[in-house]
Amino acid sequence: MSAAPLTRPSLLLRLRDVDDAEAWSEFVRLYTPLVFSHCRRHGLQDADAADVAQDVMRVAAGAMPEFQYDAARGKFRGWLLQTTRHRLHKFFARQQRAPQAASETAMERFLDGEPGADEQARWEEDYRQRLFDWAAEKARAEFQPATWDAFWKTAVDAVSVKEVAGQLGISIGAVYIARSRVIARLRELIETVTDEPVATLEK
Amino acid sequence: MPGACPATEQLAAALRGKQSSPTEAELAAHLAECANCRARLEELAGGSGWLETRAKARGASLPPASESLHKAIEALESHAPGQEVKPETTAPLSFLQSSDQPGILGRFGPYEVIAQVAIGGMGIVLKARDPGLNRIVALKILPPALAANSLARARFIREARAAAAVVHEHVVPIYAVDEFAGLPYLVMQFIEGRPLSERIRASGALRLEEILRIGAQTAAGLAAAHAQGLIHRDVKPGNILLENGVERVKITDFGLARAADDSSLTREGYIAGTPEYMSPEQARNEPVDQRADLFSFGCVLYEMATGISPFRAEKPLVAMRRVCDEEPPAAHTLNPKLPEWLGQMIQRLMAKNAAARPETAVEVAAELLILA
Repeated sequence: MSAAPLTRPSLLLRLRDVDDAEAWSEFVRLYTPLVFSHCRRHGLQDADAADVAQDVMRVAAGAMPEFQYDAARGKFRGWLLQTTRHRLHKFFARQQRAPQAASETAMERFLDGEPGADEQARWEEDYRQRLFDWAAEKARAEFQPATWDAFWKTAVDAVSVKEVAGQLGISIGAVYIARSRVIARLRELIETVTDEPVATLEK
Repeated sequence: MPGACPATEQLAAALRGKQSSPTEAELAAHLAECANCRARLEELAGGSGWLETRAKARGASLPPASESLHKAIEALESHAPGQEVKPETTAPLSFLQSSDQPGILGRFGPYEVIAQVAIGGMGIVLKARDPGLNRIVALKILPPALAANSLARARFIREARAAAAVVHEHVVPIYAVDEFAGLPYLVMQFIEGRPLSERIRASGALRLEEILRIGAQTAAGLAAAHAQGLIHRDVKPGNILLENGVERVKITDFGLARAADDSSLTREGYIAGTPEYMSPEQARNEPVDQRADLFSFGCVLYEMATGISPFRAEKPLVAMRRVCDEEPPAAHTLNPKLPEWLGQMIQRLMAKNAAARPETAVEVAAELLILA
């Protein structure tokens, strides 16, 4: 009963066209917070993390036109993680004159090698979370507040359908419909940027 | 149970907000009672499983977004990759002190500046007269934008002093390293001639004996610097000067690429200079040794042999990727007049892995000399 998958030019593919400003904007909004988070997890201050994230995204901008479409499936994230680690490495190398040099040297050594399984898993988890947050930010504006709330309260805040129906003054069945509509839209949005079915991403 | 179970198409229409029969109220009434149809609707929406994971994960969510992050995103959005920032081609020479003397642009410290020769990421080059010794010199001044960075300033001076210790017939001699008005500069022999880059641009691929002669002299100059533990880091046709008449090679700008490494320019994600001759280890910001220069030297030989820079790209960041990932066609396949052994030597110099390159510039110079 599953519908035929829709084919759309993926975000990464669209980025090979440097004039596609909308694709660029989407790309920046989706991935910059992910890189930023990774930097924060490595202990960078807010402003430094934003600087490094900006650097990484500019490197990515230059690399995109050359990125092979097939190779981009799933591999782009790995590449982005590597680039983020290189930039973090560079950042810590510059901090060597700081008093806490000892721990930073250890950090540098750590960043010099391949990402470990833990870091890899953290990154993947952050990526999935970012996809969800990004899609939610976009979808929210497309729905009536009651429709959105029906979804958010039941799916995210884990409030019972009955209670939400009471709060919103709609029927229980209407909560189910509203919630499914938002879910369908979120899934659709996520699939425009990943080329991977959402269900696969979560496995 | 109110109503019959709706068909899949009816549920799909409901998801899109387009259903007419049953009406939304009728469907809602049915769903309230029918757990099976609720599951069908959810499955159709594609929510099964992943959404629960996401909802639970929100507890251990991403570090919070911040004002700095929003600013970064805005800056990036307003700077799409289609619009790269062009480096300035003329430097404001506002740091010169004015002079009434005819034929003089101005003064810089004790020097009388005659002309601006070049401007690059690493410095402004001026032709000047040293009145004390009454000779023409070249001044290389760290650009004010870089000089504002104390690390870049210290590095420029340190690298220039190290370079000044290299005395070799194929390396441009450095007479002095100093600072004036907060701008570090070095004083070099003024070479009457033109860089190899211009030579290749004017005449395309060079003849074999020229490739071997210029190649052997460049390798010898690099070997002399390497013997002192100095790495050039920016070997490229623009840094290989050919003296007028004899076309003797003089390598310039030893180690200065390093000064720009800490600069605000690279902090903002711009790369100082062109990375198309950069070794993969430099492009990846990994530690380098003299073999990084050998990679770049291989690119220079390639360009002399074919007229084409092997990793050329419009954008520096693309060039960086090509350096790391692409294998250009062997030089002797592009230029059939080239002997295969030279093509193979160039391939070895341009090996992605430093361990696969020749060990030293000395052996490369020797090989080129024997064959020349």
